[in-house]
Parts: sequence; structure tokens; C-alpha cells
Amino acid sequence: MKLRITEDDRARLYKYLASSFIAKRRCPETGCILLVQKNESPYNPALLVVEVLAPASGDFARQGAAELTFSSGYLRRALMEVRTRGLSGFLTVHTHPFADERVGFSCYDDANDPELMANLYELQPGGIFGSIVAGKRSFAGRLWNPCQTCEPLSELITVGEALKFEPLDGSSSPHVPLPSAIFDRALAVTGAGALAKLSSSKFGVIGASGTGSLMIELLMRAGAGEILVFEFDRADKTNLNRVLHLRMRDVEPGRNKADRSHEVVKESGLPVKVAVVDGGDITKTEVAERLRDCDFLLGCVDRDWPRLILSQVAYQYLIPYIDLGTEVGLDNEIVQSLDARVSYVAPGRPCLLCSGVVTEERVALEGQSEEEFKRILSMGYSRDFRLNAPAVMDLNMRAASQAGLLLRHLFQPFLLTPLPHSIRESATNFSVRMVNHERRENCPICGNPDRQGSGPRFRLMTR
Amino acid sequence: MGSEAPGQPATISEHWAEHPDRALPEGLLEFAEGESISIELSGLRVRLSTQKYPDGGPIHFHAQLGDTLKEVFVKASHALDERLLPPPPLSPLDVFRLRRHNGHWGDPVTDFELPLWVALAEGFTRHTSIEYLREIRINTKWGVASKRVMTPRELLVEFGFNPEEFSLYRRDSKDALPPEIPIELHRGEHFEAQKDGKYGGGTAPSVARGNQTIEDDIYRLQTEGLDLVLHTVGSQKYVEVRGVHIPSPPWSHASANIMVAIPATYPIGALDALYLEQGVTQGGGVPRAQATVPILGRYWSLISWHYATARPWNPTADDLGTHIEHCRGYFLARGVCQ
Repeated sequence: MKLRITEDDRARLYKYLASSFIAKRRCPETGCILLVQKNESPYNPALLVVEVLAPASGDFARQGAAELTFSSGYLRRALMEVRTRGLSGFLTVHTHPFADERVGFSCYDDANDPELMANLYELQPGGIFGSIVAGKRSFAGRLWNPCQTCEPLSELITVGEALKFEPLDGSSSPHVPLPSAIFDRALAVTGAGALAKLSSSKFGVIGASGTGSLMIELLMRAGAGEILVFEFDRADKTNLNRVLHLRMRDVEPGRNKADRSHEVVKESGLPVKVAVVDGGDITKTEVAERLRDCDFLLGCVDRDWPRLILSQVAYQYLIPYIDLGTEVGLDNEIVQSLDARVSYVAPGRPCLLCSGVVTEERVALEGQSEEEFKRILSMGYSRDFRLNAPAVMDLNMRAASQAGLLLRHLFQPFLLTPLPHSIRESATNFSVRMVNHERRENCPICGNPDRQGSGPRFRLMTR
Repeated sequence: MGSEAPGQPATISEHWAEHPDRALPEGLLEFAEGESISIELSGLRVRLSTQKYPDGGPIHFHAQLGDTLKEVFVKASHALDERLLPPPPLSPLDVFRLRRHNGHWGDPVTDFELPLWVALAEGFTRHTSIEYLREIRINTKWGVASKRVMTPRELLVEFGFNPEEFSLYRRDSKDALPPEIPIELHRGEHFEAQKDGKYGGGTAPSVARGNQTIEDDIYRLQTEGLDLVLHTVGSQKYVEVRGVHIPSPPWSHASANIMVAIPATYPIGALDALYLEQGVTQGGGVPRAQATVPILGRYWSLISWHYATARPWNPTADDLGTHIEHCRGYFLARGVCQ
């Protein structure tokens, strides 16, 4: 089981544990508690850190160089948070000050943990409880079951300006397999460690049309492990100008747009798995639930409603999300602008509502039935709803290319940081700009701290 | 079975069944030797009495001859309007007794699977008693507190928890009970023993604004007295608000039915405008009316009544309730229309 945490919470965790690792001092053990929610995805379950519950004065009943006792009051506070906030459970974290690149649970830990966990499961049946021990540069984690057996936690994934992967098996760095020669020329940009992570990650590509088909191609050739494609639209002739690999004969039977991409990935022989999600429309609850299965989301849609859902998933399930968009601006059939945009949405960063990519007005319109939608348009108070927007592959490629590089950066940083909230390219002006946005006060998506890591506690805005 | 003539020996009859003090019919003793009774007799409802042990007033109740003593125990407690503890499926710790013919209470019943008719045949009367004890729950464990007033430390020890490792809390409380300060214990109280963590070593969350469903809003507003109906037409939801009070004059009626189209993306997807059911007019017309459309077999005028640009829909503050207020502004000729 993976453990996902935001960059801010990872920093807090570091802060609370740091006092055990001051050089050249005999430091006491210390600890904290991680409140967690479970991502119940059957294919890719994970624990999401909702909050690092800081220890207060008196929260450690005993604290020494080789012992630490969490007071019942501290554990009680965590348990009450779990109950009142509807969380899944919590993990205790304690340090072993003398451990550095390797750490493991002591015999004393092993002797006492089962009784504590049994007590917690007795008080909160159906909860999730576990423990983590931290060395200076290593972690080991385990999740206990009500029957007093435990299973190891596999990996701590920090989601933020970059993605950080730390093993929870007690070692300081994961075993990195030798990369295949296929990826030799890319190793300078995506090294063996990052490639190993790419190849073990599942990428959700939402939309397999203009930008989506390009993203699938880039992911396949970057060494992605698995691609899950969400698409519900049928291919038609008007897609032939921009959907990669789409042929005239694919259009005739009215196939799903994703089918051709699926075929091409399969035929490539590259080490990547691909699957197309049945139905594909993420505004439907059962389809949106499959987004939880992914380690990374790439939004290649042209509607605000799915973008809103993707933003919610990014915050609630701590899954990084890159959104792509292009726009051909016309005035009396004369090209005024050719814009490509890539936005990176992750906990701690503004959402697409705050950046203005998604507007409540369009979300409201897209949520109406067709008849109601027409009535509203006929009243003339939709300010910027566009139907049949023009699109060309050339411009889509600019967005897909930026998104591909941004994705690689997140696995192995090489871009200027902190990352801008959006990268906007204006092809007509030959300019690429970094754009940052202010968070809106009380934003329902990124302005609500309770939503972060909340998993299923907040409903997704689906049908 | 038949009606019994006065002065005759007791037989298994409805008359006998209704009089708890009647002598045991001989037939029942014969059946006891045979170790079974007929299905018909097993279903015979007999009247019994019960009381709180030792000196409560008697209350009558009925049980079937074939009931087990556990079933009789539950029925007796029900008659006394008290809950047995711990609740099912655990076995009660409260004490059930049957009175002997010599007027003394028997020992506490331990064989609860024994059928009532066997107990009667073995010499017990149809008078029962229940001794309600001071059952306390700590975590999942139920037990009987030995004293009415005990310290948390004593209570932990009595329930098998080591007070050096566990602290006692009231259910859902963050504050540990001081271990040495005595507390008065009440039957049915629930405590929690929380362990220290040695290393080295429901309540459901409320729905936050912006995350609620339209059904949540409707439920809340209905409890506040609004007459709301949720309609679904294909994939479109509408909320009909019946009997909205409006000023008359200038309106032709003192109340109106309005309807609001609910986007599937609600509440981040904003509510906007309203439908007014035909028939309510102002000076013979309907201000700001757009199209008239049939919905649900009735005719509605779509009213162009929107939020101001400077004060747009805010999903963390606005909801169906505030939107209805916004719509009332139309009838009161307030608000902003773009």
C-alpha cells in the first residue's frame, strides 16, 4: 500500500522529526501522528495523509534516546479527529535517532505495537491503523489488521512541485532496475530512477482526441508503465485533422476515438500497458471512480465540467494532474490568437477554478440538459460558451509537448522552480509565458483544507 | 383443551393459562416425563407476572408455553419497560429468577434454553423477577461494576485493564477521567479505555457548503417548512417551490409556484433564473418573461433574473435556500437583472 502526502505535510513531518537527528548530539526519540483517509481503489489503493497531527506539550508520556511513549491523550485526540471528521484512521510515526540510511522496527516496537493496535481497532472497528519508524534518511512502515497481523507499507509519495518517491521498507533509496536500451537517449532527461517510477506508474489520459492522442504517444515513448484512457466520443471525419494515427477507415464504423490509440500502443511493442475505460465519460460517477486508480492524470478535454472533476480528484486523492488546452481565437474569420496552455494542479497549488480555466458559468451550463441549455443560450446570457471550437494538430502539439516535458520534470526536476501555475504559449506572438494565479478566497476546491486528501469523504461533482 | 368447570382439577386450558396462580395441570407433568409437548400446546399463550427484584410491583405479561426462559426473560423485561444489558446479541448480565411454590425466589436462571413448560413442570410458578444490575461497558467489554461509586483506576482494574497503560474516557470525550477521582456509575454507561503507545516505542461529518447535494438542501429546507418537490425530467433536475409568498398587489395572486433548473454540477454549477408557473401576472403580463415552456404537463415562464456581475454565485455561501431568496427579489422588484 502506498502512502501519499502533500509537500507541505511532508515538510511538517520533517520538522516534527528533525529534533531526533541533530548532528553530534545524543537526541531523544520523537514522533507525530498522521491522520489518513483511504483511497479505496481496488486496483491502486493508497493511504492519503489528511493532516500531520503535531504533538503538544505532554503528548509524550516518556521520551528518551531509546524510548518514546505516546500518551493516551495524544492517541485519543487523533482518534477523536478520526471520528468527528469521518477519516479512515491514523499512523503513529516515531524516530530511531541512531538510524540513518536503514531503519527498522525494534523488538520493543514489535512487542508493544500489537497491543496498541488491538486497542485502537477495538475502539474504532473498521478503522485503519499503522505505524512508521523514521531514520535520518529512511522510513519503514506497516499497516496493522484487526487480527493483529501487519502488512508493509510500500512507498511514501510526496505530491507537490515535484514528485518524490521514498521507500517505506527501511531503506533510503529504492532498488532501480537497469533501464531498457529503448530509453538510452532519454536518460539525460529522465534518469534510471525516474524512468523506473514512470514505468511503474499508471497514467490516466482523459480525452483521446486532439491533445489526448498526442499525450498517449508521448507517454508510450517516455516509458510510462500503464495508460488508462477515458474517452466516450466517437471518431468522425472532423477529427481526422488532429487525432494522431486516426485513418479514414477508422471513421466509417464510428469507432470510439480511443480505439485507434489503443491499437497503436499495442502494435508498438513498447513496454507499456494500455486500457480504455468502458463508457469513458468521467462526469458519470462509476467512470470517475476509475480516476482513483491512476498515479497521474492528464486532462485533454475541452469542457469545464470534467476539468472540475479532475481538479477535485487531484486534491482529494493527492494525484497530480496536468491539464492541457488550446484555443484558436478568431475575429471575423481572421486568426487573432493561437494559444496553448498547460496547467499543473496539485495540492498546495491553485486549482483550475482559481486560475480561471474553469468558470462556474460554464460548469453550470454544462450541467444542464440539452433543452435547458438551449433555453439558456437563447436568453443570451452565456458570455463565453463556444461550440465547435476550431482546433489544429500543430497547436495541440505545442501543448502536448509542454505537458510531456512538465511530466518528466515532475519525476526528475530540470525546469525552473517553483513551477508556474500555468505555462501559456502564444504562437502568434512567439512567446511562452509563466502564469501564476492568486487563490480565490473560499474556493470550494483548493480553498477548503478539509478537501485535501479527503478521498471519498467529499463527493465528486458527477451525475 | 376446553373451558374448565369450577372445582375440578386443573387441566391445560385457556382458563388455566390466564390465571398464574392456578395449580399446575397434571397433564403438563405427564408431558414433562415424555420430554415434549404438542405444537398446539407449545403455542399456548400463558399469563405470567414479573417484578423488579426484590420488591417491585408485579406486572403481567404473556409468553408461550414453548418459549425458552431467555425468551420469557426478554418479554418480562419488555413488560417492565427496561432494556436488558448488554443488548443482543450478547447474553444479558441482568439476573432472572422464577418463584417457587413455597414463595421463595429460585436461584438465578442459568439454563436459558429451558422451555417454560419444563420449568413449570420442575416446580416453578409463573411469577418471575428481574434484578437489573449496574452494567458498564468499557470498549467492547461489558461487566457489572461492583460499587456505585468507583475511581477510574478501580474500574479499569475491575475490567482487566492495566491502569499504568490505559486511561479511561467517557465515550467520544477527549478528556481523560482523573484516575483517582471517584465517579458515580450508572447502568448502561459507556467508557473507553485508551492505551498509551509505547515505542522505542459516530459522528458523521456534516456536509460542507460547496459539497452538498441538491437533495441535502431540499431536506434541510423542508425541515424549515418550505414546500419543495424535486422533479427529474430525463437528465434534468428541477426543484419546484410551492406557495412562495409574493406581494399582491401588484401581483395577481398572493403566492406563486416557481421552479429552478438544477445543473448536474450543482453547487459549483450555479443556480440561475427561475420558472414561474403560468397564471400569476402583474398588470396582465409577466415582467422579464422569456419563453413559455411545458414542463411536467404544466406551463412555465422562464424569467430572466440573474446574479449581479459584482455578486456572482458563490458555491461556498450560496445554496438552494439563498437562491429562493434571490428569486423572491424578482417578485419584490429587488435584486439585479442583467
